[in-house]
Amino acid sequence: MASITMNTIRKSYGPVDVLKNISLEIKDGEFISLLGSSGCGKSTLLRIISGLEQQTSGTLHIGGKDMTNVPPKQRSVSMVFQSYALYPHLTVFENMAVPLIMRTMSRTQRFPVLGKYIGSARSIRKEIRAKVLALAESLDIHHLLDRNPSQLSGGQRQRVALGRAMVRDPEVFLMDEPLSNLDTKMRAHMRTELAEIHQKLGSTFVYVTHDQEEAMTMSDRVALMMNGQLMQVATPREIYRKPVHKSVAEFIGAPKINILSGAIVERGVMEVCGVRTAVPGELQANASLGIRPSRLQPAPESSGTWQAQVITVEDMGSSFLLHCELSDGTRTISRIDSRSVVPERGANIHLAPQADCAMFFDANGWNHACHPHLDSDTLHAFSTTPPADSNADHAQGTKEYALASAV
Amino acid sequence: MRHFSYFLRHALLAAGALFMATPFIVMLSTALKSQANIFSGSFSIIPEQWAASGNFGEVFTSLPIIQFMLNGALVTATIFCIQVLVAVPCAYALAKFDFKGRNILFNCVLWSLLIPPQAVAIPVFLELHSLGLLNSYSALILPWTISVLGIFLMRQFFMAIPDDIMDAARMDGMGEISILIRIMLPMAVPALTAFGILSFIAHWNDFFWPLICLQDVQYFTPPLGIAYFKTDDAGIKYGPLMAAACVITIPLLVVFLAARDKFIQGVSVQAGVK
Amino acid sequence: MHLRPLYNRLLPYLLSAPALVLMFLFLIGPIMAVLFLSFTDWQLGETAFRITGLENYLTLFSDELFLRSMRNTAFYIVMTVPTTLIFGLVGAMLILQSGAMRKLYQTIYFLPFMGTAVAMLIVWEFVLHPTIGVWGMIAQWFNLDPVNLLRNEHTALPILALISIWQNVGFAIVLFMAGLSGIPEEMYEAGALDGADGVFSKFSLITWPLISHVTFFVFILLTVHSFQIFESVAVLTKGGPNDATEVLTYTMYKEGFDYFRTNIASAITVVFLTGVGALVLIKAAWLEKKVHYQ
Repeated sequence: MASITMNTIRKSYGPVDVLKNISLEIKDGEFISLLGSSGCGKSTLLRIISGLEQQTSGTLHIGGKDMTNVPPKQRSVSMVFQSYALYPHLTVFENMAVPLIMRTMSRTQRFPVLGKYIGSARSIRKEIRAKVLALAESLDIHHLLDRNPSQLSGGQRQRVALGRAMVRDPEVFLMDEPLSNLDTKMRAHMRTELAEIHQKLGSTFVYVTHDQEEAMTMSDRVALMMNGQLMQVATPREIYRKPVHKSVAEFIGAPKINILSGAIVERGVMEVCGVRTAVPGELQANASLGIRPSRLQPAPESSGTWQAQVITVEDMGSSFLLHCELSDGTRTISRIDSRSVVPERGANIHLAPQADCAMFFDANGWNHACHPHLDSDTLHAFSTTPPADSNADHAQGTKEYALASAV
Repeated sequence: MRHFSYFLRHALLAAGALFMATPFIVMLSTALKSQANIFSGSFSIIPEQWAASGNFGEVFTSLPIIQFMLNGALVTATIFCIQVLVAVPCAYALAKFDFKGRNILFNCVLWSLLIPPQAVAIPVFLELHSLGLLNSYSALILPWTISVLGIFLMRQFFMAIPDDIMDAARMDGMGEISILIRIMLPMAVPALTAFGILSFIAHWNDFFWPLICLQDVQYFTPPLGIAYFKTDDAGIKYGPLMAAACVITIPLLVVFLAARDKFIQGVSVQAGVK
Repeated sequence: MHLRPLYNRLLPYLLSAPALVLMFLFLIGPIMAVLFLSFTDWQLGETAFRITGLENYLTLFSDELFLRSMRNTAFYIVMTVPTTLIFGLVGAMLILQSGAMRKLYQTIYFLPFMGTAVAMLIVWEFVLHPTIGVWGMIAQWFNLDPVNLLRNEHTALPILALISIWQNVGFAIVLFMAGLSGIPEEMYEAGALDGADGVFSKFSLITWPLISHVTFFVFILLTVHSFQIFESVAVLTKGGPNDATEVLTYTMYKEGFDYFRTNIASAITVVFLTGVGALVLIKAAWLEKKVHYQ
């Protein structure tokens, strides 16, 4: 088993910096997701861990050993690719056996036909066979072993790719968007299955995805990346409730968080669309308020509510999405329970934010509730720290700056 | 109306097919006829006087036709093997490696695609002459060991193979050469088949180059052999001549009929039409 | 540890070295040699040579035989290419609609392309024989004068063109069929809804525009192929009668390997190369563009 330590890793292609100063510590046995939109550098980081690419500078340790200049073959890592990358000309069995053959048999033993008769080749092949069979049994693909990848369904290919990665008992599993080629139903199913496999094996999982739902449901921690930088590394719960930056808040959560821009009318008081709110004193001009759709609900009119007109109502089955327009033209989304009374389209209603769940972002987008004096260096220090040893004290963070009614 | 267009369509196609097949029918029928029957004045499909054994017998006794066929097979097979050994690594490098000079190399390939085989005949003839290699198997094989069309086709094919497969192979512990031999090559079998068919058709049929570089009958390939048979002594002995044409054409046609779809697909590859 | 990156950096060069060497030996080098020789007075067997500039070309372009050869080649191309193209396209469309007979037709039409070319030329010579061949029989039926078509100044080149069409139409059909079957059925359905339901409106609205790239390719391939006509002349007519079938490659062959006037043959090669090269250049550029856009 192995932990992974990355220290100030940079990667550039010519003048383009794909990764800027990434430092991250992944604990032994942890399931961590690298989350971000395409082009944010998450796949590059994964490929650097795998050894398929070399970092431009910085160090990488796996299990305490320096991995600079160590080829992929000699790292105890295996990878599941987005396209599965199964060898189309080999059967499922052969696909799964390749990693073992390449590692345990010598060049001469691998030699076609003749290799069979050299030394212990026969017994090694027997062992490999037994191992592949056992694994196939546990992944429920033993009946597919003689087929070619082209004859398999997407879900079956996914399992074979997993099997090929698992067969040599690596200490680290790397997964590059492994579920993105599956249909919705299969994806949900594989999600649970992956989580179970992680629990059973206890090895370190690094999981790259652009799908926040996958990241949030499976991982111990989520590392959110943007523009080649780590924005925040935290548990799913924390990254949802206490995003360090407006962009993080906007990325996590569906439907998207409502961001309302406000004006600081006097020290500690912000006016958002006609409603005054008490805010941390340090907030300067151009601050904004963030409120999750589930925390912005229709309410009877009062001084703390916004007047809004309903634009559309989407029926999601278990809930309704209410698209509204505030009096200053700002669009908002509310998620309301399907059992509650649903306003008609075009109705004039009032919306009330749930006081203790609002977030305030300063002019640069940093969340003041979490980190009152954040600059990019301290943010960086924060994001590289594993969750256990800090931020218990941040727990009460948001509550202190509760949204109040008009002054 | 519907019936009429159906009928018209098949009538046109059948007439065309008859035109296409006529030379083959004439070849077969004449190969079975006696000399007297051939010269009897009017042409008939079914022989009136059979002389199959006589005609074919003469082909095999008066002409080293087996030798021609073996020469053809030897030369085309050797050419293709060497073409693969030379073109595939180069195509792999062009498709999957980023190296200084790659574009120059690829441009060389593209420009070489422009060169028709007849255009290089004179200097290549002089090269082989100065090496003393004319009139030999080497002369038949050497100039064709490089196939830029092969490089181009294989490069296209390799480019279509996702890099993920190569990365997976690297993670599984393979080196670059292993990837080429164990992963890329087996995956490229359809492309290699197409390449092989194109190469075979081109060099089995080639008449121009063997005509230039050969003198001894012992090295003749089938096209040169049958042309030699025609001018030699069998000038007007159409029976044996057609029998010889049958002998060198029919094996090829049988192979074609057996692997029809592969041949047709292979030929289409050339035009970039899938 | 330091050897590995070096090896990886050298690997592409090692992989492409044999191809590069052979390319220079048998393609690029020879082409440069031909160009050079065409500006000299060197002939096979001589030890010294002189640079003569454009003299060879001037000789060529005032030589009636060479001009005849150019004209014949052009005429041959004009006779073969459009005809093969049209028959290929029509044939492909008919065969695609011929139901169960499709494979049979395709096979028969493709047979000539697979027959060993020289052998089939010899068969054609017999087919065209004025007294004992099929032509003789047809001439008898229709009371025509059974002339020897290959020995007649006016018919020899058209007959060679006919044989070429016979050989290549199957090839064109195969390529067109591949192109046509790539047109999605919905296109025709959409066209029918828009009012294009007749044979000709379907063809002009959908079929023709959607296979234009195939047509272009087949056109280039056939033209290059026709440029290279050699076998039929060498086997059937030897340039005759009366130079009526003298074509570029055959003239080049005679100059270079019969008379050993290497310089003149080289100049002819350069002229020939310019024609073929221009065509293949267009095609190669097109191919590369297509690859890029995929």
